[in-house]
Amino acid sequence: MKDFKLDENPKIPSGFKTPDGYFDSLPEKVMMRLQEQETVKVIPIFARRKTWIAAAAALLILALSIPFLWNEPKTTTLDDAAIENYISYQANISQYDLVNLLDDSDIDQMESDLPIEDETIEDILISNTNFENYIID
Amino acid sequence: MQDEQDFIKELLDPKTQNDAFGKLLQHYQRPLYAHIRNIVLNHDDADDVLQNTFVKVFRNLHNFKGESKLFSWMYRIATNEAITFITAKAKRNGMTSEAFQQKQIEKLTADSYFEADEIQLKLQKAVALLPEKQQLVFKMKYFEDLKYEEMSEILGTSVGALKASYFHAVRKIEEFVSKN
Repeated sequence: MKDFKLDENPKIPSGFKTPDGYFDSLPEKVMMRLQEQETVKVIPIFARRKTWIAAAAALLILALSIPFLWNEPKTTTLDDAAIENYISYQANISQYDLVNLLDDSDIDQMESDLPIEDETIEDILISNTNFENYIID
Repeated sequence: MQDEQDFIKELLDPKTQNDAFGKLLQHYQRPLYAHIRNIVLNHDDADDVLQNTFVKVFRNLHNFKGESKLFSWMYRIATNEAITFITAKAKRNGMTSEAFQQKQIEKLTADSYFEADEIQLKLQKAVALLPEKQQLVFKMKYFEDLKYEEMSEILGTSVGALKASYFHAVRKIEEFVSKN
């Protein structure tokens, strides 16, 4: 078999062909792809930024409200003893004023709550020199 | 083409960029297509890779330092894109690049965009049996008529090494065609 020599033969084409009009339409296809990619590129950047800003704002609000959320207002119910102590020691109110504030139902309640023996009343009256005022009133 | 430096300025200036890139497309689409098709063999694949190449060129214009010619830079991108494409496609098909290429060669006769006589087909088969670098060198020299100096800039290989590569490729091809 004769040895084949590349140089001794006319140039052998590759055999590859293209579809009709391929090179006419290629530049436009490439430009369209570039434009599509530009549009797609822009939107995610904004969306990411907006999301980031919203997230940062939400975090800030949360951070600021933590002290308020943790400090629950203590709804303590004042018991009667505390009220009495306050009136006795803190409030600028005299015993005379306190007595005047009592109405008949209060006095009746006090009489039943605080049983005072007659002897105790007599002792108080004896020690108090102005007892005539009490009898007259 | 106009003075390369002026053209590069037009490519980098947003006002003139689109027009300049259009000129680039018109000027280089055929040679780059041929270069890519020689590597990937199939038209549809070549179309994909060519478009990817131009997109990559456009996106990286601002990175082009002008250390090499625009032409060499673009060919380098095209070569890398084509080889990466083939490697990835071979992997997806569970084959080595070499095995995948052999399969592509076998499909050539059924390819509607391949019109070849017996000798053309034999030549393609012979080239496909060469190591990857020798294939590239042979295709660029024989099919694409590139000068050794141009190939050296594109492939980053010395002219001497390229000449040796081409010499060995030719010998192997001649041996194959003679025996087949």
